[in-house]
Amino acid sequence: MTFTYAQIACHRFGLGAKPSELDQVLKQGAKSFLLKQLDAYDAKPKLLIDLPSAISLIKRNDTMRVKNKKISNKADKQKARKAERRFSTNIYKAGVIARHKHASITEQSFNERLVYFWQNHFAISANKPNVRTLAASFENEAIRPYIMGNFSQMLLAVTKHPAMQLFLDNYKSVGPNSRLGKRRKKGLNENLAREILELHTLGVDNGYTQKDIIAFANMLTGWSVSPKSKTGFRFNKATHEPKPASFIGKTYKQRGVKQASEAIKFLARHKNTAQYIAKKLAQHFAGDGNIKLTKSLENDLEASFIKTGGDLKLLYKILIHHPACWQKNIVRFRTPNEWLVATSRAAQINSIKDKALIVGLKNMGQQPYYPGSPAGWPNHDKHWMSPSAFVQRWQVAKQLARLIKTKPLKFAQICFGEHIDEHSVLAMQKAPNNKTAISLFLLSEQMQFR
Amino acid sequence: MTKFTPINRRHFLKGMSATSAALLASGAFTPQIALAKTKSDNILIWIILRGAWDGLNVLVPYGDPNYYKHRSSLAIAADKLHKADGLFGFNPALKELHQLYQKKELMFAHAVASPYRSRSHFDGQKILENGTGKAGIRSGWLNRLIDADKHHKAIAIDSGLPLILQGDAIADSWYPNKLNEQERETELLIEMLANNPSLSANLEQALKIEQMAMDMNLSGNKKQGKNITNITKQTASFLKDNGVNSPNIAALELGGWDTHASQGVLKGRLAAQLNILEKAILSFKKHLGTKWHKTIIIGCSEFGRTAKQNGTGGTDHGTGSALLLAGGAINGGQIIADWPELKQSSLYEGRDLYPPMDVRSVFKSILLEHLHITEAAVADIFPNSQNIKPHDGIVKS
Repeated sequence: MTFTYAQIACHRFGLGAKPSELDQVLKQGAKSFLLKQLDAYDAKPKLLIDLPSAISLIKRNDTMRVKNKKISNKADKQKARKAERRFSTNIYKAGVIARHKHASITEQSFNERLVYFWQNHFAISANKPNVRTLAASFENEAIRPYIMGNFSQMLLAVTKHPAMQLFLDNYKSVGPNSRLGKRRKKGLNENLAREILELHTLGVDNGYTQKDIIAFANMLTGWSVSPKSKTGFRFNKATHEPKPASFIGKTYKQRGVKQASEAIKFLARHKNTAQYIAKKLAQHFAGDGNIKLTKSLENDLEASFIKTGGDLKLLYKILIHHPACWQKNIVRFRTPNEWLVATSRAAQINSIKDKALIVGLKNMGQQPYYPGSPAGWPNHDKHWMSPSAFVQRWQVAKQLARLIKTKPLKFAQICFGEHIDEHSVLAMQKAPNNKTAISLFLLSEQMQFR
Repeated sequence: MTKFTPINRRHFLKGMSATSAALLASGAFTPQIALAKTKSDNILIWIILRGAWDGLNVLVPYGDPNYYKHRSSLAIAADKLHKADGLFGFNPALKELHQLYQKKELMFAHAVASPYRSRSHFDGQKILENGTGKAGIRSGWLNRLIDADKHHKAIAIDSGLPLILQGDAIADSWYPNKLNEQERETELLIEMLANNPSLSANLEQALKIEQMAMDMNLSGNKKQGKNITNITKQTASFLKDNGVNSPNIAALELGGWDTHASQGVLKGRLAAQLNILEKAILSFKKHLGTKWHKTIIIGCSEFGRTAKQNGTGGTDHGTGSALLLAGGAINGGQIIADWPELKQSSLYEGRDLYPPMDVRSVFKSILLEHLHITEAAVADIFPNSQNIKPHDGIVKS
């Protein structure tokens, strides 16, 4: 089975075709369809602007904590705890649902894929209770505004965001020689520093030592969270390690927040960062079926990153113009979320029940914002391809098939136009009813890969 | 697991489409594939403890005074521990596992590590699972094992496929789900996906496993639960089954050990984790029944945690840690450790428990003596590790 260029634009670059989107691509030409999306990028989609900001949530949670502390009655205490849990669940759900709806209707699904890519690169995980309510705000405040800009701005925004501060424990890290560190028995937590080096910038063991991690962690002390600030981020002088730090061959003597900011800028432009990001992006769009072609894409991306100091929009343009991304063969397997979004886009269904959406993704092993680790969802296809993963996807396909009212063949045409894989057509024709036909189509090779 | 050659795969599919859905559901369906004639009787259960467990607070070296120096608030007092010997004691949460230890059905190796010497969970897990020493290798050592010796078959208890079972050989996988009717949809699906090798292989395996799960549907309850008791119970029934198709090796995972903050000493995250692990092992013992005496369970983490506690009531990524072995087939009631001591000068890079022993020496002895893999095959399963000798005295003779 092979893909046409128009299909590649919608499914490999984008998150799946909406009704009549393929016609639009054929009219405009696949590359210009994608380039136009980059220029029209909307960092504040309508469906997401009403979601609560990180600072409003932190303020609210702080007020409630103070209020609930005063409760002495055991039964009331339990009630309050329950109410808090319900609140957290509702906020989490609202974020997940709005995000899914937006992905299902957006005209810019290539851009949305890029949001997913970066969100996963800087992964946080909602299984930490204090991160759960903030998960959506993290994506909307620290990722979306920055994906067309410079990498270092995104890295800085991500590091400062309360969700990241809380997720990787930095908010309670204390410099040993800081005012508070000297007075109290509290100390350094190197978690955030390590993961920035390992997962966000240089790549694992790629140009830093344990000493560098500690030096960086020292610089990051004082970076914290507060309900009294404008964004939720606050620099706390009392916990900041006041000494200069020697970090990857340079001494950072700056005071305050500037010190770690400078180190972050340095990391963002490092050649190892360029190499690491280039490789990850190339893998995402070209897979490793043709190693030579992917390597050539990787080299182009890396060179551009180094030359421009991390201009992200230029990287996306390279993707659009490079033949590695236009291979007609399958290059990647769709993750559960990509597969579900592609289905929603074609079906334009608003009727996936909110609970079914979250439970479906959970059963398929990809509950939104719950990757479980700062490394995010695994980047390679084998992880998602197993007998049990197949069965889980099959179950969700059956549920979706009940909701989709479009005729099976029409539905397949929305996705792939006149070039539907004959194996799927054959199976759909033999199916005893429309529901089975849709379910089969959703599990077809063409629908499960990109 | 048997590899499908193009020819027997075709036979298999032909057999499938001729079989009606009703037959499939009734359990009359037998796949037409070539299989090893005999199946190994010995069981191996691999539980990867993802997240790096704090070996020093699992099997506590209370006899090493440095332990108490490094952990001002995280150390467990000696009188709270279930003593194993003059040096080590079990975490108080492991009361029943300590009883197993006394019955000689459980043991630990301490101060061990994989060949990995950095502190990334992700690379650490890759190296533990691929058994090579290099993070980039994408085939797991259990997969190489079932590829090398067809008497062994493996199943992953996982909604995906963990690296340890990825590779050339086909491994089964199963995870609790509610799919309980095989209709014409199944047949059509098999036809439709026949030209995509990965999807059709996964579907074939899934159907076989579903069939097994249905045959053995213990309570008649169609809803399969996801708690550890149910998962271990179901896994045990796969392993107990005497059919030539059923697995004798299972790979499970138990995450949640990454205790950077508020680890808790007697209550808290670590204790809760240990309770789950204890429950899992006891459930295996109960449900494996008479097969327990042929079973070895390995519980292993990618690395350990720092000897010193950090500033947030937890510990950070370290190196040496403890490895747990249980089952009727092990020579339990002993602690294997060439204890390097926790004094500052003995710590690895001045911060972690130094690991004189490579976990592969434990794995190798289990492969050789318990699963009867040849030495030559073991050398392929763990490449470039000639200097790691199998450790004597782990498997009951």
